[in-house]
Parts: sequence; C-alpha cells; structure tokens
Amino acid sequence: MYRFFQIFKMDLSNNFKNPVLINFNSVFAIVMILIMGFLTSGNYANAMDAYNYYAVSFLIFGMMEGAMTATNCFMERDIKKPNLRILSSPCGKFPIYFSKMLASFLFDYILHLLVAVILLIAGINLGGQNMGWIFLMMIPVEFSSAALGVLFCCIFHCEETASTILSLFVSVIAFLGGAFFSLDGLGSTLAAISRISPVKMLIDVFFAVIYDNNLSGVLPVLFISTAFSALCIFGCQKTFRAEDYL
Amino acid sequence: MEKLLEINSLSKSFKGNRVLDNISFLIEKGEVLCLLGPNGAGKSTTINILLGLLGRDSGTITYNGKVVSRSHLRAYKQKLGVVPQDLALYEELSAQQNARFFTSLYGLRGSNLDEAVEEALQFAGLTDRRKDKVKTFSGGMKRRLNIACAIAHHPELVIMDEPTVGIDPQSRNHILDSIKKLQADGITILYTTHYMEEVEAISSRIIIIDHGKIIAEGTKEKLKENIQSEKCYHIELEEGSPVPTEGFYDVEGVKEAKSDGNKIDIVSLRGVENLDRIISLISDAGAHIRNIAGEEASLETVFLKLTGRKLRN
Amino acid sequence: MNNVLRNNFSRIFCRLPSVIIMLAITLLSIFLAVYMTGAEQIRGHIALVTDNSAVEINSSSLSIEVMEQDPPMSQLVSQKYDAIVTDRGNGQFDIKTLRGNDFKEMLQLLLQNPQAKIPAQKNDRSVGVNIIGFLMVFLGTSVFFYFFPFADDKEQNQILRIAASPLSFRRYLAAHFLFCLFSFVPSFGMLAIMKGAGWEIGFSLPQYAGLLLLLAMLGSTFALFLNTFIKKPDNANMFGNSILIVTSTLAGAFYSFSKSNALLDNLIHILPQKQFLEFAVNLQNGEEWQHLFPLVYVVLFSAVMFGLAYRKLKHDYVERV
Repeated sequence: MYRFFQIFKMDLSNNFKNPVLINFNSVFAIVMILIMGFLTSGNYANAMDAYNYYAVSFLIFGMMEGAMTATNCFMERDIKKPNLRILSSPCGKFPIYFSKMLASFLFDYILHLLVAVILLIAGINLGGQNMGWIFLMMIPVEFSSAALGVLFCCIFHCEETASTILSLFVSVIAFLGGAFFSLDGLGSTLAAISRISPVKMLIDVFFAVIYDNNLSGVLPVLFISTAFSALCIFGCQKTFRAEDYL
Repeated sequence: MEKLLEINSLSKSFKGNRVLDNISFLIEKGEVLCLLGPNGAGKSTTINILLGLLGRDSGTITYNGKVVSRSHLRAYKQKLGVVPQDLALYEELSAQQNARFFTSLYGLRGSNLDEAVEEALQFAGLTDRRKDKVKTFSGGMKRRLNIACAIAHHPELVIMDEPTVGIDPQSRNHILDSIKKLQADGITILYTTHYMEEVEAISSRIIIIDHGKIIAEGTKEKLKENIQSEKCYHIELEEGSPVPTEGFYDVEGVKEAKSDGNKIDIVSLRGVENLDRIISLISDAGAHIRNIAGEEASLETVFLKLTGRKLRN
Repeated sequence: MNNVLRNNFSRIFCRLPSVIIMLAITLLSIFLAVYMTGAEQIRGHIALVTDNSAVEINSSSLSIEVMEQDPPMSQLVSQKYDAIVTDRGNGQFDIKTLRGNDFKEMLQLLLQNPQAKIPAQKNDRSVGVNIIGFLMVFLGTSVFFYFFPFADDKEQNQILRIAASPLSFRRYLAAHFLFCLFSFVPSFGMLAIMKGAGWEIGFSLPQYAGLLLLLAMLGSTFALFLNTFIKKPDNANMFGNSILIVTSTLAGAFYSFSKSNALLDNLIHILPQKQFLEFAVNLQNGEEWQHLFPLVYVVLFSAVMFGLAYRKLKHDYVERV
C-alpha cells in the first residue's frame, strides 16, 4: 500500500504540473459553457436556461474527456521512461496502471468540482439541495473515463494513437449525446441514435435530478459506471504488458 | 565463491526469431560480471527477462537458491537495482525528489529513506545539486543520478545496462570508480557495455554472447589467454637489408606474412614457439633485424575474434 | 521533397488502425451533416397534453407527441420538447416553453393554423455548407494527427539533421503540407462517390476540391504554428484540438448561431473559420467573386501563421547549422 501510495502521489503531482492538462479540464470547459450559453441564449426566454443546459452538458463532456488525462498520465513520453523503473521495482503491475487511473480520476474530479463551484457562484442551477447527488454521480463517471483512457493505452500501446482515437470517439459521443446542441429536435432517427450515447443518458439523468427532483437514474448511473470501470480494470489486467514500455 | 543468480537454459523468441537460445550462466556474489556482445546479440533481452519485464519461453532463474517464480517475483525484485540504458528520470523533479521516489518503491520510508537518499546522492557526487531539477543537469550528472536511484535501497545485485553511454571521460571515470566501490562493499553487478576499456577496468568475469548464445566465458585473463596463441609480429629490418619474401609459409604455424619496405608483419598461430625459426629464416636471407615487436591480445581482439568483424544490424 | 513525403507515408503505415478509425469518423460526419440538413425542417418538438384523443394538429413544421400528463421539466431543459402545450378545450392551448417569444408566437400561429407558412430561419444552411462545417472540425482535428512526422522530427531532433541536409527548409515544410493534404483525399473521394450515387451534397466536386484545399492550408499552418511554438507535441495536440473545437463552434461549424450582438459578431469574424464558412456560403450563393474578402482573409491568416512558424524554425534550426 505504501508503494502504491508513492506511485499515486507521483502520478497526481505529474498531472498537476501539466498546465495544458489543467487548462483543458478547467478553463476550456468554462470557456465552452460561456460561449455556447451566450450563442444560444437568444433562443431562450431566459438566457440563464441556455447556460444551465451547457453547464451540465459540458461538465459531462469534460468528464468524458477526462480519459485523455489518463492516456497522458500513463504514456506521456517523459513519464514513460521512469515508468520502466517502476516496473522493475517490486510493486507488481496492478499498482502501476491502477495508480494512473486513480490519479487521473482525482485530478479530473477536483478540477471539475472547481468548475462546478465557479458555475454555482455564477448562478447556474446544479440541483440545489440535490447537488450532492450530482457530485456523487460524477465520481464513478470520472473514474470510468480514466479507466477507459488507461485501457486504450494498454490496447494500443501508444499514447498518441490512444488519445487521438479517444478524442474522436469522445467528440462523436458528445456530439450525438447533445453536448453541443440537442439532437432531439432533429428527427426521430437522430434522436434514437442520440439515445445510444452515454453522454445523452447522463445528460437526461442529471437534468432529471436537477429539475424534476427525480433520483431514479442515480443508482443505474452509479452501478453502470462502476461496472464499466471494473470491466476496464479487468481489460487492463489482461492487456497490460511490461514489454510495451521497453 | 557463492552463487547469487543462476540462469538455466533461457530461451526467447520474437515472432519466430530466436533471440536467446538456451543460454545458461551464473553470477557469483560480489563479482562484476560483464555481459558483452554486438548489437542484437541478446544482451538487452537477457537483462529484461532478469528484471521481470519480459516473459521467457523456457528456462529458469534461480536467485540465492530459490527459483524465481511469479510468487517470488516481488521478493526477488526487492534485491535488485536497475540502471536502465535510457535515462529513467523525471526531468521536472529535483535529483532528491527522483531518488526519494524510486527508493520509496522498495519500501523505504521515514528517516531510513532520507538517509538512503542522501547516501546515494553523495555516492553519485550530487549532494550539492540535490535540490536542482534534473532538466538542468549535464549528461554525466544525469547518468550518475540514474545510478544513485538504482542503489539507494541497498540492492544485492545491480543490473547496469550500458550506464556510461554518451558521457565525458570524467563522468565515466567517476562511474567506473563507483562501481569498484560498490563491489568493494559486497554488491554484485551485472554490467553490459560496448566499451572494452571499461570491461578491462572493472570486470571480474566476462560473458560474450552472440546470436543468442554464449560463445565465451571466463576472466579477462583467461579469455585473452585463449587467443594468446595467435600473435602478430612486426619485424623491422636495418636499412638496405635484403627483404626475404619467401619461405615464411613453410614455417609451421604462420598464417599470414606481409612485407612493406623494410617491414615484415607476420601472424603466427603458434605464439612464440616458432619465433626462432622465423628469425633464422630472415638471418639466412642475409637481412639484419633492427627490432621485433609482438602485439599483445587485447579484449577488443578477443571480442572481434569471437564475434567477427562483420557489421551488425 | 519526394523523399520526405515518402518517408511520412512509411511512418504513418504503422499507425494504420488510427488512420482507419479517423477516416471512419470523418466519413460518418459527412453523413451526419447531410442527414441533419434534411432533418432541420422541423421547427419544434411539442408535447401535447390532452385528455381528448380526437385533438389532432397536423403540421409539417411541428413534431407533436400526444400525452395525458405533463412531461417532466427536465425534458424541456434537455430540449427533448421545445414546448409543452396543454389543451384547454375549445381550441384553447396553454404553452409552456423555455424558448423565446419568437418561438412562442410561431407556435401559437401553428396551433391555430397548422398549415401556416413559416418564414425561413436565419440559420437554414445548404447541405454543402453543413458538410463543410462538419468537415472543418473533424478534418481540423485529424490534421494534428497527420502532422505527427513534423512533431516527431522536432521533438526527437531529426529536424537538425534535415536542416543540415541540402534539402531546403521550405520544401521540407511543403512536403508536410502535401502530406496533410493527402489526408483529405478519402473525404473528397467519399463526396465524389456520394455525388456519383446521386446524393445532394451541395457544391460541385471542383468546388469541394478548392474548399478542402483551403481547409488543408488553414489546418496545416495552424498545426505547424502550434507545434513550432509549443515544445511537447502532446500538449500542442491537446491545446490545438481544444482551440479548434471552441473556435469552430463559435464560427458556426455545427450550427449557425444568430446573435444580434455587434461586438461578438465582429470578434467572431476575426476567426478564420468564420471567414471560411462565409466564403462557403458565398460560393453556395454563386457570389464568391463579388465577396472576395473572406477568401483573402483565410489565405492571409494561413500565410501569417506559416510565416511566424517559418521564422522561428529558421532561427532555431537553419541559422545555427
């Protein structure tokens, strides 16, 4: 445990030393919410409704993009070589990839909470007394994104490939899920495709918690994302090979 | 001497290409074993298997009398220190932070960790720069820190994969002296390099590996002795002396004879045994010898003789 | 130059799986753009709450779902429904919507006269402009991927070897640009196939070729610019992709936003993507030669990015050799 904690500390501090990662997970999200909110506010009677929509959709988009933090944390060129030394130490392989997942998750979660707090101060509706449920749901979702990022690295053995594919994949599911604008209004086929996207499912559950006081989606989100994380960890255990670092 | 690590019938193939072919050797406690071989000979594969980074197709590794298996891997790794060929350091961190982190992975903590790190940095001559970021270090300093990170946890066996690549002679000397100090402290070292003078300076024993097989093994003296029988003589004649050109190949053991001006180069497979007959042959031809120089076999000669001079991929 | 180009192709070969996935996603975006253009005819999704199953509103501009109870508020926020219309009987309806007054008035008009003609929305775009808007984002992102040979050369210092060789630096960079351009070929091929198969894709193939060339120029000079000024390629990639998504969205790549804010409009017009899309709209209207400014702007913008990057690279590598 002590060894795991040392690796975890190092991974977390490496993340916090990367200004691009920090901005990507904080400033970028806020800027996108502001821009999209402002651009679409004309469609609403109350401009705040536009910001409310994009605050949630981009928070979810940001959580999905958290997978890129994990690929960076796992295989970034400058980090890859020292990782080889960790592999030679008596730590075992599980702590290596699990610590990257955990560090990426915590890093993303802290920054996204910070974004959420800034949004709250700006008057965005994040559920009032139900806000705790939103923050709770963010935990396994953030973790599953990080786990997916690490799994992609284990499968593709290359950060660049993993993050390029992930980035496009996340962009597509975010687009289909309505992160940029809702596809519900664009015909039944697109609406049906949209519903396949996990981003759409999350947006629906988050809005139900925030606006309808409806918590029925919380447990499924917790359960599905935890199960998905477990599946990713299992995949990592099967596909992670020290040779990929040589 | 006592056995520390024993490798038995180790084999490894990559995509049908056999890179290690049933190799066996042992490392004794307290020795510096140099693993030599041209590029692609199988050195790095051997080291990566020993470090548990690469699986093996067959063979066993026994450490201190215990077979290294999956269940023993952790305890085995605890005893190892590794100096990778690529600098495995966090450039954004200080020397001390790097050493602390990598040493903590071996379970050291608290004051033990502090002491071990200080000792290792002192050993590497980096105490003054311990707070500086690695990215500000010279190549030699990074190499020294690379070693410090490997030895701080007091390993029994340090595996060094070409630890002196690309550094200045001063840093290289420092590293070689450090290795001698480590050996004096009873630490066993497995060392790979391409620099023969390093092997001459530090090795207790040498293994030459090529095409995945061990082709020679022994102390440097023994290896040299094995090819000592082949000797090259450079014979210089007095000015104006007639130069004999024939008859050398009639002398038993002469492999090659060349003359250029008043100089004759002879390669003999019989060492000094046939030197008197060669001298008589020259004298009989009416020539006067000014000087005879014999070329001693160096490790490089041994290496090139065993592995050939052909360029490798 | 040919050698650099050939070398780049050899280097990308080992990344074939990524190339295939990227292509698949880009091609998917073309379909999405075509589909969305067709789907944009619906002006509102309405939840009609009524007990009377006989109530029927047939409007080609509205998609109406009849239900007995109000849908939850979240479905209004998530834009599943644009409005909840409650039937009060006798042709009277209550409208609950988050949308603005314009929408409410349009809805009222349609409820009273379902076949009323609705004026075209400002953001109605042709399929061609939609395709180009989508490609701008997806191809823009992929340019960063296809620029990896340059990024690697720079990070691993092969660029020094290249600078020391007799190959001119301009030709070296031109080879990378050409390489990026090749990455646009499959999209163009796809458009050609669609056109051949009789799909309505807006522009003609030569027009698409010109637009894609312009897009390649803009994307590759941006990738060159960022990779020159940012040390680590990973960071340049992440930063570049973020900027691309923000600016392309602002420029209206996915959706043409109508804001009557002069300051913001002017600011958005600084974005080369906005000018690029305006050029595409001019082209769609056959007015490209009357309004040349957007085209000149995009070319100049690319030239400035290229010039700055070239200056820095020359200073860092060529002059010291």
